[in-house]
Amino acid sequence: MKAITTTIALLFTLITLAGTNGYNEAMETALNQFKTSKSVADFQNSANSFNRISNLAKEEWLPNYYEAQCYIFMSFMDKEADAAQKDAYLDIAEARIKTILENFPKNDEAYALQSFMYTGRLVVDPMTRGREFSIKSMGAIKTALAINPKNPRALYLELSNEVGTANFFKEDTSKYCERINALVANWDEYNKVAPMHPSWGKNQVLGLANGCKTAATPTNETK
Amino acid sequence: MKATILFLSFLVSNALIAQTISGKVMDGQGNSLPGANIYIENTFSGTSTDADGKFRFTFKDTGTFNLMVEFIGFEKYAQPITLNGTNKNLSITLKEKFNQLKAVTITAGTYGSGKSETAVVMSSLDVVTTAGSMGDINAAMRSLPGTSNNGESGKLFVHGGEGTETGTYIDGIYVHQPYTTSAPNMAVRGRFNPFMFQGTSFSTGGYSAEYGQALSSVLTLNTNDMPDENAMNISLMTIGGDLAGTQKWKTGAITVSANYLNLKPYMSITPQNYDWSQEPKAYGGSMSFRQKTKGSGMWKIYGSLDESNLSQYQLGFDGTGTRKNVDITNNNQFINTSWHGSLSEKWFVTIGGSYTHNNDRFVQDAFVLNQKLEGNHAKATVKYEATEKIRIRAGAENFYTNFSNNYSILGVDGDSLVSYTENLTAGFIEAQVYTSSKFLVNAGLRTEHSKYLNQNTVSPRLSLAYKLGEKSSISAAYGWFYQNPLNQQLLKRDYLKSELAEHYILSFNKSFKQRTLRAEAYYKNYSNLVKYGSTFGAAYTNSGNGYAYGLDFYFKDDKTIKNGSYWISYSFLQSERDFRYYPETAVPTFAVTHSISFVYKHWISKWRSYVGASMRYGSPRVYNDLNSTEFNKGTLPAYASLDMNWSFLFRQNIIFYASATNVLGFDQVFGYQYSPTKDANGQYARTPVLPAAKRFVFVGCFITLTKKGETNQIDKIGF
Repeated sequence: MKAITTTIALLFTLITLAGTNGYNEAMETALNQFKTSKSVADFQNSANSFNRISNLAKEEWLPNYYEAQCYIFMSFMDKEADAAQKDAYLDIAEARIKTILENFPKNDEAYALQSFMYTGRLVVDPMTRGREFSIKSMGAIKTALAINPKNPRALYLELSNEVGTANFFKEDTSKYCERINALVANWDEYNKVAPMHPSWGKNQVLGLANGCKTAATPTNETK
Repeated sequence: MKATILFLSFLVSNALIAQTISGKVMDGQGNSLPGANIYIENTFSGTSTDADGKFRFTFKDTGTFNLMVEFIGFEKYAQPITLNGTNKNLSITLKEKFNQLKAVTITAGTYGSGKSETAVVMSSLDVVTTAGSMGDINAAMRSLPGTSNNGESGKLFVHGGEGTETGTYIDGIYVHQPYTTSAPNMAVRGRFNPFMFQGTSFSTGGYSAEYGQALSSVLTLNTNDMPDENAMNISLMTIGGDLAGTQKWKTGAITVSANYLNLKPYMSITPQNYDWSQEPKAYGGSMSFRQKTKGSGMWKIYGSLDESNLSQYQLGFDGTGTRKNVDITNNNQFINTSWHGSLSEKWFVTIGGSYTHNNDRFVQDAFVLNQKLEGNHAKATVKYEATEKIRIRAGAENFYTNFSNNYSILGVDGDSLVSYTENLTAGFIEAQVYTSSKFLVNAGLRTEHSKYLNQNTVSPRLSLAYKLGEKSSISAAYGWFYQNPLNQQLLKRDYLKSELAEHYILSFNKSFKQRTLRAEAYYKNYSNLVKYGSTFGAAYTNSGNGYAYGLDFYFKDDKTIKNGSYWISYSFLQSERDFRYYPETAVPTFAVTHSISFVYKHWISKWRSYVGASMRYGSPRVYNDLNSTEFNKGTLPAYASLDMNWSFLFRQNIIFYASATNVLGFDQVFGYQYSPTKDANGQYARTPVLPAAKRFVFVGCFITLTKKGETNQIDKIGF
């Protein structure tokens, strides 16, 4: 009898281990695939991988996050796609972000990604969507920062929006440099995240910081 | 224990068996689908199809599983497979998801704004950035095919119909008085600010059974949902200014605005074609309220109060040929409200109503004419989405109209009042059926009962669309369209019947990469038109008739020129009528045989400017020369106008806007006014009907104040 109990206990451990290992392994594989993705097709494959994981690991938000990110990238990258197709990509991204926020209403990373998704909507048709989605994009950043004032990606997106606008109006962007440099300096501290969690943005902030070094010639790097 | 070992060994052996699952994923036409997601349900195992739609992955368990395939735009695919260690090769065909946005749409007669690529879009941005529109929705619509420029009216003349044959609906609710009041023979404007609306669609005929009381066309305006944020908008213009404030809360918002308009300063420094003793001035206010209700419901209210006044010298009514001062004062109160929401996933309800009180007071010498219109409309519609492919809509409505003319003489007691009251009840039902994403039928029936005319009418409506290819379609529309005679005709004449137009429309639409091509042919048959007797005071009859046929072409291109967009419209029209005072069948004075519009817009990023130009041409119209024995055989000069506008984004919250009409100064004559009596030479003296001024130049500055000063009225100019 004891043996059976032991076996069952062992079996449960095995299954649990298998489950966790399965998730971590699958995520690691998918993340490697994601990090080496370059084309729309690559990101589609990555998105599919994350989707397979989130189908099973419903309690995890990371697969949804990365799948959404893949589709947002695709909306920016796919030169073949018409507006309807780009919106179809962003519809999936929006749905995944919504799923995260339903389960984790205080997820600042999801709000930062939502801001990025709204920027994607704007880029599809800037002329008619400019106003609506710039407000929505900024709104999502504000929500993210209200939850976590030190979210480095939200801080980056906020600065990127502000610098982009200032560039557009040919205003002096040097007034943002203090905040940009502070973000660069604090990046590693703010960006202490668990393994596999979103950690992107450092290169982009360094790009903004570069703009500060050559503030005399405004760049169009930030959009 | 034995069993446990057996079970464990089973687990182990299972892990050792691995099989390869491979195959190909295709759509219904046999095209390979790259990027489809294939996986075994409830496992992490799976892969994506490659560029040829092929896939291959290994799976280590045995047993019966569900193989799943998912791809954007296709229905989820599931297939049970039994795995026993041998490799599997599968050929999988995915079924395309039915998508209304991708399915065929009816384009016959429709010029609307919508998400679908086949619709011809006219957003509020399009309206204001269309040079020559001067922020007037109707003027912007006149750059689309099927319309003509009739400068003496300012209304929307469609497919050989008069301006009065176009009905205006806001959120499905009828607008009794959609235009401002102007001096006789001077262009009116639409009453509504284009920025109130998120979508503006306009039909050239063959429209839904939902809409009645319009012989030729309906202009359907859908108001904005929630405003984006709290803001204070200030507009300073050469002709006046307005101030609007928006306060938002979690589930609703309110916007209150006040405006003042005075053309005196502008008109006194620019050459004018008319003598004014009071240049047009107006003031008013409006309120707009939004409240989200349970589910996805929304309740909207819009109300406005306006007063305007002008005094102009016009040819007198007394037949002496002298010019006399006419003073015109308009008072308008309008309220429109609607609520829409869902009862369940498949049932949707919209209810709404409107109330209009419009008073025009004309004073010449001591003669006073007070014209009063009081109207309301109540309407309820239900929509049932039986399936994705079948939708049924039904509705009931009541239109109330009370119209009166009251003549009096200043300083003299008593007046002479004539009025009529109409209650028109109507019901409609309409079914929209997609037999596939390629074929759509929309069939409807509308019935109306007029209490005043004591008449029942039944109008069938039918439209069909068929998709020829990925981006091209043909559609056809047919229907009967009734409209009551004009208010002036109905005063004291309850024996008249409603006028009837029968529409036949055939349309071809092709979209390719942000370009749209539309060609439309139509035939319209008018009957029961009101005809006046040959002698003064004789009874009116419904014996008039007429026809119109023509061809429209439209080409819009947002792609070829970077940061630029243009469209070209051409309309050909042939029409004759025998109605009103016409002694015989003749080409009506408002019919334009060839109308051409070319509209161009360009975004200049470096200057943060949006510039636009439009060129409009209308071939010579006829007019009735009283000094000739032939009826309607005089020929007016052709109409031409080159209009330009420029919007400059100065700061994030400050926009400058400038606009000019007829910059090249073409001579525009819209008709002639004849003296009612002959002069000494036995001729009727005449004066031309001209625009108020040869050119009109407008400069404005729009400022938006928000908490953070971040937003602007960017949607006021386009970006």
